[in-house]
Amino acid sequence: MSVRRVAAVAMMHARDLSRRRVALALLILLPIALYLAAELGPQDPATAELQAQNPGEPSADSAWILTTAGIGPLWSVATATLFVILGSRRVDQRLLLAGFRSTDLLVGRMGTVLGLGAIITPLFTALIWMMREVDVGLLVASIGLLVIVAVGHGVVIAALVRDEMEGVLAIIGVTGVQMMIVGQAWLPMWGASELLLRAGGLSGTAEPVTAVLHAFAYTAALVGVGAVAWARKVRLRPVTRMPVGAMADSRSSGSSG
Amino acid sequence: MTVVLSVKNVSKTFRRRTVLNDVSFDVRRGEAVAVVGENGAGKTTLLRICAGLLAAESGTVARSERVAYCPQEPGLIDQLTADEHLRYVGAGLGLSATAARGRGAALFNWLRFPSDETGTVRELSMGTKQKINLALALLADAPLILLDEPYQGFDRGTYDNFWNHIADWRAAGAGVVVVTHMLAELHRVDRVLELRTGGSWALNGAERGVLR
Repeated sequence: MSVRRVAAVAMMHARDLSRRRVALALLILLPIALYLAAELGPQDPATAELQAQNPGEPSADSAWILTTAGIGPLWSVATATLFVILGSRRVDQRLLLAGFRSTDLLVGRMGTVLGLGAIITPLFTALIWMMREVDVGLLVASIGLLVIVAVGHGVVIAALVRDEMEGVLAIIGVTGVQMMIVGQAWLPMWGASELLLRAGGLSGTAEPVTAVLHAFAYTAALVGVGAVAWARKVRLRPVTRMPVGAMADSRSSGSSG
Repeated sequence: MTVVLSVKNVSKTFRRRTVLNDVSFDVRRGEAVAVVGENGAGKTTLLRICAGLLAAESGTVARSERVAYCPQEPGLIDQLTADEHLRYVGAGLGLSATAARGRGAALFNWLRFPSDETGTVRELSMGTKQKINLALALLADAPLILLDEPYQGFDRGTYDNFWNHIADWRAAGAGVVVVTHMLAELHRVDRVLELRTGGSWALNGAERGVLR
């Protein structure tokens, strides 16, 4: 892997992504809409009654709203990762022949979507901070972790599916399941979600350090599996390489043989 | 003459259908070989195996370290410009942005690519995309050039220019393999590899531009 090649990949895909303005706006706005719908929508009557009976207790709705808030960047960044990686599959073989390694392509594209995450994280943090009382430090950390875990989701799904449609369906499934099943440590989003609940004043079951380690460990595992599958999928087949100079060499020295 | 591509007993099947059966041929510096055959005869498959993009089931391929491969479908990124493509592929080749642009400018000039074109690939015509496709392949300045019908969408002048340029590449010492349906142009190559449905093949001289 070369830093120069990785930087070239990251830069070019950042340009490509930045010019897809409608798609970029949807990636940012749809999760915001999801969160605002959960935050501002009418409360479930049974939950409202329960909260009226226990005014000092945190609302069950708060946990649901914060989980929904976490799903937003997870969905958004995972989908962006999928499209940045898979959307370039027609050019991958050309890039391999030019001298890029499959790891250059993967790491560079991860860099592009982490850049997108760096835009989404403060946006989401500001939005949630405006809507409810939160610990800003924990909130930034949890959204940042969600972005990192989301890149892991996108990498592994992009490496395992054949096209964007399969990948989007897989992401909808994976994020949907994590939205429905809350508080299960075997889910990749659990650590970041626990931190998000804690940021919102709800006592998560995990200590912050455990939550952070969980998120990083899961991301490493997802990226590791994705990288292995990617290296098998995007590669040059073995051919015997003959030491023959460039066409320009022949022009300057005359052909041999 | 130095061999730049050596294909020995290469076979390939797709879903039990034999596409290539024991194909063998060499390409030397300064030599041009046309690959012809009907649709589905395995022309693109053979070229991809030669490039190292597809594995053969049996047989061996030896080729020059560096290869220029131009796919039939332009392998481009819709939202990047031609200049950005040059810099992107150039980075893989170890070229600086300036070197990639310089080499690309010469190729674009030859291909009659409009020098004032700064739009993204998405905004370009099929023929113009194909010119970028070919220029990116040739950016490698490789001793082996593999071309899979690279002239689709070319205007008449660029098309004629393309075939004339095959002679220039041969003179410069490159070995050229070109997949084509244009049988009228076969007098411009040294040999013709004809692939037939079912995997059989024949390698002929093309002195008269007629397949035996």
